[in-house]
Amino acid sequence: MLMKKEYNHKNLIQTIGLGVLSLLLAALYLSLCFNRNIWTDEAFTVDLLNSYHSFGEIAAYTATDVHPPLYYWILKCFTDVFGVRLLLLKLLSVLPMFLLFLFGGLYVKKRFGFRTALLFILFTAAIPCSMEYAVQVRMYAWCMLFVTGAGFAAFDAYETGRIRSFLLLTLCGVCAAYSHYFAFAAILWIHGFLFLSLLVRFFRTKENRAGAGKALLFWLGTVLLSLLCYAPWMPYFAKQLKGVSASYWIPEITGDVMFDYLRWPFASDYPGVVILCQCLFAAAFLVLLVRLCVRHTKEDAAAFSALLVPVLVVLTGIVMSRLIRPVFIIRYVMPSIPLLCFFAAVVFSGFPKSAYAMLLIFLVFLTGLDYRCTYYDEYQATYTDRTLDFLVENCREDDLIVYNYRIYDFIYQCYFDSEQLRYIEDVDFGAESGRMWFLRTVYQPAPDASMLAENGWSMQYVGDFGIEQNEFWIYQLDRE
Amino acid sequence: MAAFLLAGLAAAFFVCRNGSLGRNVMHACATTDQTFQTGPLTGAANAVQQFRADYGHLTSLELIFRKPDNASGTVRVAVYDENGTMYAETYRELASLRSDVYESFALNAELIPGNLYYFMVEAFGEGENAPALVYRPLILDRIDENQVFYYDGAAIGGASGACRYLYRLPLTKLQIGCYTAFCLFAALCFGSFVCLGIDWVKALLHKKSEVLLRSGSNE
Repeated sequence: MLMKKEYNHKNLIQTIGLGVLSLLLAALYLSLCFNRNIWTDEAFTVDLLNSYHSFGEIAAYTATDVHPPLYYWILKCFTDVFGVRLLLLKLLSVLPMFLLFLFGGLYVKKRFGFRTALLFILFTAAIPCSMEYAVQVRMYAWCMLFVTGAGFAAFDAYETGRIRSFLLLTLCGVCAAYSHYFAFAAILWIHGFLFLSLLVRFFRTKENRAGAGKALLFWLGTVLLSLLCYAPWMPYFAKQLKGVSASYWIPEITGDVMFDYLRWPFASDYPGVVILCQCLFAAAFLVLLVRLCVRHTKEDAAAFSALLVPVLVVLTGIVMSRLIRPVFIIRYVMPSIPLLCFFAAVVFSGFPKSAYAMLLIFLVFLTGLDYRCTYYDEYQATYTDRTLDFLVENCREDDLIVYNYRIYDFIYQCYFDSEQLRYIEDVDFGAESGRMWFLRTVYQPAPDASMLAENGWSMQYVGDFGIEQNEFWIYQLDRE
Repeated sequence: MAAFLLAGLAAAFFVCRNGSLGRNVMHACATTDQTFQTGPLTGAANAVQQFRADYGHLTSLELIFRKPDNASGTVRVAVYDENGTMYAETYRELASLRSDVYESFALNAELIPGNLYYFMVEAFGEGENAPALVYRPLILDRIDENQVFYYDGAAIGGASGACRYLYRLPLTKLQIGCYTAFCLFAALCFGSFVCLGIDWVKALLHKKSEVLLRSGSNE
């Protein structure tokens, strides 16, 4: 009785500990949201939410793009209430990360123990690629939640055979498939592993064959239900596939590109981090292989399957790129990254206490380094704030903001009033009379000095500015 | 195990002292998009750029050349301070350089941030096919950072060599903590495996000796 009480007390403390850690990490992520910095794809999201006002319109528009619509629908639910605000959109990417830390951690604790749960949360937070994508106004954070949820639900379904685990697998799987196609690929592989495991158990088991058969039937039901839920999007998927086959922006997958896949999840401004992380994951892989040869536990089998999911997603991307045209870029593996972290967590949780403690310290420092890099990227890497502050202070309502870098057109539109914004070649210098702020990007068209002089314009350099990755010089144009 | 811990600490000390894991920062001077080129670079007619060091360790310098396809010989890049003391020099074969792209010259010079230095570019043995260095007009408010550009001893006003400076920053406390923790983790893991191996061998030997003893007592 006393032991049970002690166990419950310890269990409670561990649960609270994981909750607090999840909150702390979410707060860390939250602190990266208070800026006006967005990149091209994020600008696309903002533009879409500003331009299309109903769920149907959003679905119709995304059907002409390359991603499924669920992420935009989720945002829509919130922007309908609070309006399209950049901070809100960023917070909506931190939310799934918090849920991933919290529920992922708690589930892993329940099935694999506290040590594994702690490592899972820290690995997911510390792996350099995760912090960058967790605060972007894109679907990756939600996909990570859905794919990880599906992975854990599949393990639970195998372990317990409970119908609610199969239902959770269906829900997470469908959500993932409606969010990103390579999250969909991860879900297909998870279903494949679950089916294989259930099939092997069915043929091996002698005592509870009926139970194993029932689990297989549940799995079949899950697949059918998922297909049913996905059926409405299938025609659009086919249309998108056709569109992508005709043209797409992703470069060809060469040997160098594939080699870079090994570096990408750990890429950091700090050169040592990549090597250390590569060593760590390579060591985890070797240890797991040895353990699988020596003994065969369900934990190790789960870790191996979890490792295979991102690997197979990448292989799927490569094969599809060979068959259709280049459609895969390494960040599309992002939804499966928490499963990679889960694999490492399972492997290292069995290590001796002192090594385990040192690994925790390493991961805390790694999170710190990762935070510094992301903080720099979000707050200091661009001139966005400086530019916006300058123009808010100096640009009058009747001034024009003229730019010469056409492909940044829709990014400028996220920041400036479209009435004031004008492409350089659309400006009639003979007719205009007000003041202009010229955002001059190097190597792009600029007005001829003699033409300006003829029309009575003077051009004065103001300073170095920029929006997102686009750096430019601002010139003030006045008509004398 | 203590021995492995010490080994881990020693490894961490070595890694952190080495400094090669420091963060790299690239600095490009603010120039316009117009490009010009110097006259032919030779041992006598060289190009010199005055610059202010942003950080302490200048890893490399990237420069843009223009050269005929059949150019041969060697390009020398050296860094000096105002007193003419040389801090670093490096050579590259002309044949290995491409035109109109940044080419890297490893220097690893230890400089004092904020101080003025010069880098000099000259070419040897090029015969009649000498290379030229590309330079660009400076943005007016940035004239201070890449102060004067000279070719053949004459200053070219408002110009800067088309160059980029790659600096390596010293390790931060976070980095030192991270690398130290990793080294200790690796050492402890290795130590644990060695201890496991020793225990396994001991158990094996113990088993064997027991078998031998038993067989001896049976005889």
